[in-house]
Amino acid sequence: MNVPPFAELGFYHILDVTAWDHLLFVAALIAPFAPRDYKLWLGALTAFTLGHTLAMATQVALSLPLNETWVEGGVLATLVFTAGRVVWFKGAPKSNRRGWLGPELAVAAAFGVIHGLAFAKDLGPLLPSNSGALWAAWGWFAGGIELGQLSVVVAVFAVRWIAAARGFSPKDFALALGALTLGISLHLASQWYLA
Amino acid sequence: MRLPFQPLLIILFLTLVSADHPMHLASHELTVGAKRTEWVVRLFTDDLEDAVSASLGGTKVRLERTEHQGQAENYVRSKLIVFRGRKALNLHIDGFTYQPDAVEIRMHVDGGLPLTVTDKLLHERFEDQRNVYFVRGPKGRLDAVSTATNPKIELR
Repeated sequence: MNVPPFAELGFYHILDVTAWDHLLFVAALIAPFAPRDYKLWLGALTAFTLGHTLAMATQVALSLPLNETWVEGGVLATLVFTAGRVVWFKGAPKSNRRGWLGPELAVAAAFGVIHGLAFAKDLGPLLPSNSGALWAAWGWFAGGIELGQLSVVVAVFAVRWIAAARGFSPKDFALALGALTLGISLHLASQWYLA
Repeated sequence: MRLPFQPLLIILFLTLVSADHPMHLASHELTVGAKRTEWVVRLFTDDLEDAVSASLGGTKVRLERTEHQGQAENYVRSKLIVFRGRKALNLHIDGFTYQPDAVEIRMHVDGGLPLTVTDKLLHERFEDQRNVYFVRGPKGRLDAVSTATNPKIELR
C-alpha cells in the first residue's frame, strides 16, 4: 500500500531526530501520565493536532502577516511552559487532581496553533493551489502528525516502564523527563534569543 | 537523585547545537488534459539558489534576477527527465514566479498520461529531499513522491 506523501511528511515531521522541539513537546506533554490515562493524553494530543491543523489551514488561506521570529519564539515558549509545569508540580500525575482536563485541552490546542503557524510559514508556499489536493494534503498531514505523536508516546511509555523496573517511581520519571526537557528547551531558547 | 544514564543525557544535551530542522521538500502539481499536461513545480528559494550556485561552480545566485532565473530553469530541465513510453518529452517552461520563500516554475508537456518522470531535483543537495506530486487527471487524483533512493515515478 502506498502511504500518502503528506501523511509520511507529517509522521516524519514529528519523528525527525533533529526536530527536538516537537519530540520534547510531546514527551513533556505526556510525562505526567500513565498509559491507563489514555483518555487524558490522547485528548491532549488530539487537541494539539487539531489546533496545529486548523492554524495551518487558516494561515495558508489568509496569509496573515506574522513575525517569523516571534512565531519561532512562541514555539520555544510552549516547550518551556509545558516542561516547566511538569517540574513545577514535581512530576505529580495530573490524574490525581480534579477538574483539569478542560484547561489542559485548551492549552494543548493553543500550543498546537502556535506550532501550526510556524509550520504553515515553512510549508505554505509549497502546498498545491487546487483546493481538493490542498485539503487532502492537510488531512493526511494531520493524520501523519497524530501517528508520529503516538509513536513518541509509545517510546516514552516504554522508557517509563524500563525506569519503573529499575525502581523509579512514575513521579520521579516524570520529573526527570520534565527537567531534561526544560533544560534542553532553555538551551534552544537561548540560541533563538542570541540569533 | 542520580540517574544511571546521567552522563549520556549530558552528552546528548551538549551536542544540541541548533533548533533548526529544515524541511527538504519540493512540490509538483500536474493538471492532465487530453492535449497537454500543465505542470507547476514549487521549490524553496534558498534551496534552489544553492543548487544552481553549485551547478555553476559556486557563483552567487539570486533568483530575483532574470538571468539567474534562466539558470534555474536550465537546472530544473537537467534534473527532471520525462518520458512517455520510450519517447523523451520536452519540458516547456511557461513562466517563473519569484517569492522570497519559494519559487514557482510553470511548465507543460505535450499530451496527457502516462508519464514516467525521473526527478532528481535537489537530491544531490539533500539525502532526505522529498519531491511530492499532486496529479489531477481524467481518472481523478493521484499522489506520488520522488526520493533520492527512488527518483523514478510512474504516472498512469
